[in-house]
Amino acid sequence: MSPIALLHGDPGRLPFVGHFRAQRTIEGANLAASGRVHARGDVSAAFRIARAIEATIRGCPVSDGADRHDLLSAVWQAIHDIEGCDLGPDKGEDLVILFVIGDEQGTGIAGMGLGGVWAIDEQSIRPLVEGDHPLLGGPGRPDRLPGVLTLDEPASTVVCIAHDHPNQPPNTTNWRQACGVNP
Amino acid sequence: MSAIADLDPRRDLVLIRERIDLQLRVGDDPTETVRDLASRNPIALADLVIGPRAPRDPRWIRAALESVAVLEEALSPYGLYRKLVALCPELQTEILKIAARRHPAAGWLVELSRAIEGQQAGFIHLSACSGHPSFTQNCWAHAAAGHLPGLIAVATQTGLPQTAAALVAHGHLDAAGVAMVRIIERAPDTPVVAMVAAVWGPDPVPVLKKTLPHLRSRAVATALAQQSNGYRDFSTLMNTLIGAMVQP
Repeated sequence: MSPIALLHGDPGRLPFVGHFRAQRTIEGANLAASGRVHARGDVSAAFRIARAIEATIRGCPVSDGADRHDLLSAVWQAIHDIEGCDLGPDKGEDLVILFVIGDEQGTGIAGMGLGGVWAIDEQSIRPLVEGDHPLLGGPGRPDRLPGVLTLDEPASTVVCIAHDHPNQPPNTTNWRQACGVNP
Repeated sequence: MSAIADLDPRRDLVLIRERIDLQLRVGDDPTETVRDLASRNPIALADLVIGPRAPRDPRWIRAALESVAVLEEALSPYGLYRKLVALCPELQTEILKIAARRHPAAGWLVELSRAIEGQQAGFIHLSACSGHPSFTQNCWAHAAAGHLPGLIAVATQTGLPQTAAALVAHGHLDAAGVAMVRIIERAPDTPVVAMVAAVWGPDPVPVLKKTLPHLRSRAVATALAQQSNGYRDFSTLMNTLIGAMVQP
């Protein structure tokens, strides 16, 4: 089953300005990504940039026989290669993104600009990282992602909040809607 | 000319009331009398406009509306406008327009709109504040109150995407579909899909599909397709639909 990556909405009436979500499946590995860019900017421009990032994730070349790490590297490289001017006035330095990657060997998470990450199922919400974990940090597009956290137990749905949110876990009753997943 | 220029509003209120009644009975314009009172004693004016023995003549209320700023000094705006509507239902639309113009961000306008406009509630208020910073919050408030036809009418008139976004935010998806089409009809370049996605989440295709039954022209469908070309499946659907449309 493909993992699901979700970014919690921002406070306010327009919680999903510049939010994007995409999945990529290759033989033997899956990648789910969710994030936001230019979220404090013009709604229209943020929307266009978000769709461009989704298209990049879905369409970037990945070599045959790639495992989940190769898939993540290829996708990140493609995002990194987007011209800064195509990512809004901040040139992508405000990029927040969560990746969940999975294959037969296991599941891992990586990202930028994350303030908290949780695994969610129908029964529980459990934090995947705490304290000063290197997965949590500022936004942007470094040459390489800081690292991949391999999960001890598989997680079908991973929810994150952005670095500039209060570090509170998602609400157990309405987390789907809060992440822009509507019935 | 003021009919009470020789009277003192603090002392001669009974006489003033009689003069106003007479003025209205003989068909004289009471505007100058209202202005005179407004300049000399706003409290007396408030008593004569909305007090228990206030004349219910529309000419009197209309004249009083010209000095509404003075009346607002004597009574809270919500109480004042509600009372004016109760005194003179013939002028309720005019009263609501004035209230919306003077207090575009006031929450009580939602309830007053419902009482006056019924099914079209929100149209006057939102039309009056479409250029005001409170427009978005007001769209949300009217959507929360279920004023769907009013919001659709405003979408049709203004082409502003906040109307559709507010409907989406409150789960009125069918109405949002109508509003989105009306917005694109009015202003094809309005970023309504972006605004809806900002409220709904990154995959607003379920909302976009609500527009389909309301698309009548190829031009509108094409504009919608252009705005939503980041959603591959919906784009494919739109292209099929556009190809089958007869009306340009």
